[in-house]
Amino acid sequence: MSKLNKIFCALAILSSFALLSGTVLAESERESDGVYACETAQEESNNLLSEDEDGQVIIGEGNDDFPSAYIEMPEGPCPDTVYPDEIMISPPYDPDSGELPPASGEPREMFADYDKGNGDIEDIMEYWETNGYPEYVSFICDQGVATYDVATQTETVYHLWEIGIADISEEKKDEIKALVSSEQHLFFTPCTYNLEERRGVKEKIEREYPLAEVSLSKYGEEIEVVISGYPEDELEGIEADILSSFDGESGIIRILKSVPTIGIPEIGVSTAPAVSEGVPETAPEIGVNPADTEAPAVDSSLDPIGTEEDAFGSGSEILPEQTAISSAADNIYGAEDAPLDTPPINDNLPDIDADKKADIEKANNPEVSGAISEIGAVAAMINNESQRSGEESLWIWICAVAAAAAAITAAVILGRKRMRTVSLADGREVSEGGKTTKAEVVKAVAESEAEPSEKVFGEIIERINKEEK
Amino acid sequence: MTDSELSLKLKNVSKGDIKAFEDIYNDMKKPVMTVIMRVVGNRETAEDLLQEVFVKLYRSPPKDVSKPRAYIFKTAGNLAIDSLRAENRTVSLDECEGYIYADVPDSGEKLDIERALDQLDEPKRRIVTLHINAGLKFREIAEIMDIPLGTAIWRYNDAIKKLRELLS
Repeated sequence: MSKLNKIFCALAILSSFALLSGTVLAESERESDGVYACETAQEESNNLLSEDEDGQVIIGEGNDDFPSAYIEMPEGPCPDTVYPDEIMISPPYDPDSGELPPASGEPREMFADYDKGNGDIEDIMEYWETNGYPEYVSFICDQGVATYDVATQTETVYHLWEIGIADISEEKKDEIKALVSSEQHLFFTPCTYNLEERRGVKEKIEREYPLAEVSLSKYGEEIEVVISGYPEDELEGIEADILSSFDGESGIIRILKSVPTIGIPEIGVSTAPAVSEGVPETAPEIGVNPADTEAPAVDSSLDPIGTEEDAFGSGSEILPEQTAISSAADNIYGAEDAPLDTPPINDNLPDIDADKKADIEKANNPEVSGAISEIGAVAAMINNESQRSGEESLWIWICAVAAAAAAITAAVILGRKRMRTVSLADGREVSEGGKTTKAEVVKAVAESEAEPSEKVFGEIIERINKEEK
Repeated sequence: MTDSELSLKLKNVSKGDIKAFEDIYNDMKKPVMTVIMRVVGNRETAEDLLQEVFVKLYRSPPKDVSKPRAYIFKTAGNLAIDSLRAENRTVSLDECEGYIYADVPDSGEKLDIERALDQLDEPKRRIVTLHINAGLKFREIAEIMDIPLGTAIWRYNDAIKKLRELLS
């Protein structure tokens, strides 16, 4: 083995250990900085999933920002009392009250009013928007109708609420009707897919075509998505029928597509492997009632919005590490399989000398000499490889094992760090490394208030007094 | 202060009760100032407009006090937008950097959220402010801004989504 190779291998080992120690050092430095990290990933997942008195699982703030594959799943079937919509929509944070809605079967006071038939569809819509839509609702639309009385010259606007429901059974209609007062004008439109399925498709397309403006269309029974900002011929990745195409006001082509849910996995399908078995591969699983499936309480297959980033996009965040782990693991397995005293590369090599002779003969032909010169270079390189001794192979495998171990450890540590929720010295909790949660944004905006100077009120009173005089 | 308490105090203000007026001012000054600031982006102008809002409130308190909070924020928002139109200019956060939250210890962090908010278009920024800082419901915001409820909710969610991306 050449000196250069030995130096290279030694450097590789050193850098592997440096990577390990560096990561650990960074962790300890962070803790000594007054940022108190949670002890383990288990504790962190417990922060995200808490239990109420009855042992019901409450999905905590920020659950949408962490891949559920990283969250320790509670064992056993999903409790019946966990609302499906709470699982489907993330996060169940109510900016109005700043409180999480109850995870038990008890509806909160405001919602209880609707059951008396006094509710207002606007309030219900707001409630659903904050806490999650029932799985059978597809859309709600105010179809305002204006009438003009010429005699009195007055305009009257009637609100007709169109509600698209994926389950058009009379039972579901009555369920909604029961929430509102009899004065509310509702009518129902049958839809094939619910809102979360439609939003899932929208999010998926947004990720595939980041420059596009994507919006949901309520029309029709299919999932329809309006895309602007991309010419039609660049949208071939979406396996869907183009329903219409027209020029927008700004000259941007807007394309209305009907995207069947069955086609979701094929839409610009990511080559990324699923992070865990819990990640859905097909959209129809979205919104399945957990009580029916006896799925874990927080299953990514039940949370397309909360974990859609995990299932579809955040994959990009997960994948590098996942790939690193996979490739590192492959290296380890390769090393174990290969007998150390016999360089495995020799077993698989073709007869290099014969190839070389043939190459030289062919190289005499000027027509193929260009191509042959490249082949010859590769062959020479392989031949050099074949000359390596068992000692060299040993060194190579040692380096590979060390690098793989470093990569795995780094990936595990980085994975832990990403899902960490840290408590700052002032008591605030923030997610470190992950995407800022909705609750964090709301909190930050709420805390960012402007305060007028003290003189303002005095000036107001002065002005009032002056005007009164 | 709840809406009913606010309504009661407004009734007293209409009778010339300065103490009730001061209570309302102390309760509402921060959110109203925040709403105005996020529109005009200039502290001096914002304080002038804050004065306008409360002088107007004192002079002519709303007759229908069923939604007093919404009334005050609508007045504040309209005055701020009118002011902006009068000056015919757009606001850059650079103008207010350094003195918006000068009295806040962690002004750097607050400036980050303000910078992120500055990236939103004005209606979305206003909806976020009205909902989070002013505590208005979406339907009240929809009424104030004269937009459908669904649009208000959609814009809010879209704004939060963008803020999450910007702050991540």
